[in-house]
Amino acid sequence: MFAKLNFKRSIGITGFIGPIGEDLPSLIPIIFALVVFFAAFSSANQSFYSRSDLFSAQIEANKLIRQLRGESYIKSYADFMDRCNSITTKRTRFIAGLMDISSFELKYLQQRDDSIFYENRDGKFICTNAASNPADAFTEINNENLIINFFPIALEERYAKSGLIVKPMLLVVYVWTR
Amino acid sequence: MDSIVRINSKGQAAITDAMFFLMIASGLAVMVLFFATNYGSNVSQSLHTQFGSQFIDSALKTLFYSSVPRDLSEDVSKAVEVDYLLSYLKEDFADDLNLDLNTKKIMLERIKEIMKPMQDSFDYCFYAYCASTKCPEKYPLFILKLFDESTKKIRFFFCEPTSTDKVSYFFVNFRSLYRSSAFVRAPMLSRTLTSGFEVSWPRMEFALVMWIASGIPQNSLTELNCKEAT
Repeated sequence: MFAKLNFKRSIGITGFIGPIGEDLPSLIPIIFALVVFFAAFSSANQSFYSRSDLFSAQIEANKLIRQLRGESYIKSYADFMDRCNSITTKRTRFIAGLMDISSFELKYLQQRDDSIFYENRDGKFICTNAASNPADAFTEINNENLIINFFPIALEERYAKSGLIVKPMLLVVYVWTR
Repeated sequence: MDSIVRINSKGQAAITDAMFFLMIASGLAVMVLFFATNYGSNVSQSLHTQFGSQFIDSALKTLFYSSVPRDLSEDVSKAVEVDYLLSYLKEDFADDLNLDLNTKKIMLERIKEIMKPMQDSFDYCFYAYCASTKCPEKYPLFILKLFDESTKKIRFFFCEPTSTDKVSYFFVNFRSLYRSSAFVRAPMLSRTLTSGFEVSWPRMEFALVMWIASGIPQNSLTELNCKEAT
């Protein structure tokens, strides 16, 4: 009986595994809490930076589109190309072109080739800073942060009979960051 | 026995502290995730609104810049004489302070064309408002495009609202409106006894308003005095 009491006492004094033994169970919720907190923090951080990047890209895209759109009036093919060439961006890439608004369908925006863009005797109304040949620019598109915007725009064209007419067209702009 | 009880109490106290710590850490994690979920929602909404405003702005400018043939039976690309649509509108308005049916039909076709990219998701209306007391109608032109949820079809109407209040009550049905207006001095010819004719320049408002398609509000077509455009 004396031996049993001593045994119980020796167990009671220092804990089952030693001095740390009595604190061991409390370590589990502490470690769990730290894991939960840092996981949440890391996820929030990632979400914050990706959204910030997206907003920066959208704001950059809006500036670019505003420059291309101007007063919603394009005097000629040369005027269109001058607007495209005046755009200077570092990270942002774009493809801009005019489409015939009367035959426009939303599915054309998914068609990644230059056949959908309007062409007259002066040339095809498409420009880009992503490649030297606009037809190749579609392969450079980064779908992760691609923004597609479109706006009605008036295009002035010369006609033999009436001199000039102004046609409603659709300015389509694809913008993405590298 | 006393020492066993005291040592067990220390272990329990440590676990309780750890549970409190877990509670605080969980609370902080929830706050951080809440912030991450809501971050940028206002900015995102503002950017979407900007696109709608810019689109409607461009649409109105393009509408007025576009050409119409002087002879309406001709195709515009083959016509001998063409004019800006805004000039054509002003000319039609000047003589009787009203727009005739041909002009309304041209406006309808042109608006349909320009708003085509948005017609699947958005409803819109275009109106001309004359503030002058000399105008026989406050709204010489009011075109409405609505998506009818019962028939799943797009419908166009010519309306004749009798007051600005009825138009305002109509717009209250929709949550967010994208609107572009142009104030124009339209020539108005009127006969005088002495010189024959005099020209005055009342202010007219042309507006294009767009909203997310949500069906036809109840009684709105009757209130605005609308007839389907054929």
